[in-house]
Amino acid sequence: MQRVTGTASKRRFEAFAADAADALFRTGCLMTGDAGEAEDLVQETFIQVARRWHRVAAMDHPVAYARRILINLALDGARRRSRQRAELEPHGGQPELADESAARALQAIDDLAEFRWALARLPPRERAVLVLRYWADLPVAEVAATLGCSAGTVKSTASRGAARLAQILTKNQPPAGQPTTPASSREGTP
Amino acid sequence: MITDELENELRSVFARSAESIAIPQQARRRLLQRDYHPKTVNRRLAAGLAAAAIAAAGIAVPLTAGGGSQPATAGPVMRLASYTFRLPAGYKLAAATSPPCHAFVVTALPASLVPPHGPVAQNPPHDAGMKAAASASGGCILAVLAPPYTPTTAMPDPEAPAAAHPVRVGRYHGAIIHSRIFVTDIRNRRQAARHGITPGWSSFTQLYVQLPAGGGKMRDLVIGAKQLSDSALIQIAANGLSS
Repeated sequence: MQRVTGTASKRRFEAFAADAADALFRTGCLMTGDAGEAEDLVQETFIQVARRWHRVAAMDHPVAYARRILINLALDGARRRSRQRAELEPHGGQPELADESAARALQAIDDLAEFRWALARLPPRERAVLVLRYWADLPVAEVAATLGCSAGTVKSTASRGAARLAQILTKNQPPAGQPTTPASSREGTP
Repeated sequence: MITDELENELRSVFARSAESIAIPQQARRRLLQRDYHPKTVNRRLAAGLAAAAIAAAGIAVPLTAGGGSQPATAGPVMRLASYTFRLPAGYKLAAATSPPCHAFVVTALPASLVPPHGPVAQNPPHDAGMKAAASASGGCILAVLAPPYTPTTAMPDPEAPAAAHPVRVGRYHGAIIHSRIFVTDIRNRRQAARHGITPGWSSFTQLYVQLPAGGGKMRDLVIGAKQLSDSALIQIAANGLSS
């Protein structure tokens, strides 16, 4: 019976993983700007989901649950890296761009790799809010629940993040020689 | 407050950007080939109710009948959710964790997952639960509704083993399979012995019936039999589902 139980459950998990892999990988790329890191995040997410599979399998939206894990893993990783880094990029201060200018800056994007490069320059929490709100298209309340903050914080962080993103796109360009695609995958293809 | 125009631009650029990201085939293979060992039981729930934990994972139903095919409508009535199943003569309703049914449910878990005490009553394992019946000759019937799932073309019924044969159960689709299991393994032999269970092979038939669960989802009624013909088993299920 143990074998029978394991087989059915394993097949359901495999079906879930096959369905979720693409969306999670894209979210990972948007969160980290790096395909290798995204793959690691998806793998760690699958490990964590598997540990709780008896509960996740009964959920209405297991992929949403997995995405929540992935976002939190990405934030944890970013926190760890920022603690380890000697020189932190200057994230402080309020962005100066008004919404109208920010919208124009986003409209002007013709190189999506440049957009991802700019996204990767944002503080992790602002990036997470933008990814959840505008890529995953989650309502403010759900973003707040995922990140463990208030709806007001989500709104203000989204506004600040959008303005900062536009500011980076307007004022900065990726340094010469720096990859502008989500970093090369491990097999060397973008 | 962020304007609608800016929000729309953000949605648009995120959508375009995400579309342009493709997971490399080798990365996809690496991710999906790994065995993640998905857990099938909730350790807390398993404390004291192994059967319920198995129910949550959608495990099949072993049924040890008294011998040979029996009339499917001569015994007691077993109610599972809104369904009523008339069991073969000689059976009495019993707890899944009491002998002889526990041979199938307790031994399916490692001993470490089944401590001697557990707040079972405070943690109902599943909305429909598991029902059991036993016969004086050592037979057992365990009935369970598996958790809802969304069928896909690739996997229309993730509960049923791939080798199961499609059957018709009244107006529902089903799948049937004959299985042979070792009722206890090395990890829980001591526990099995405590319950008077002798390790050994046992053959039984499992029947999975796909029932609509609302919202495009399905859920399986899982039922099985030992020493009961496929047709008798299907008849029990079909009669119960049409009642």
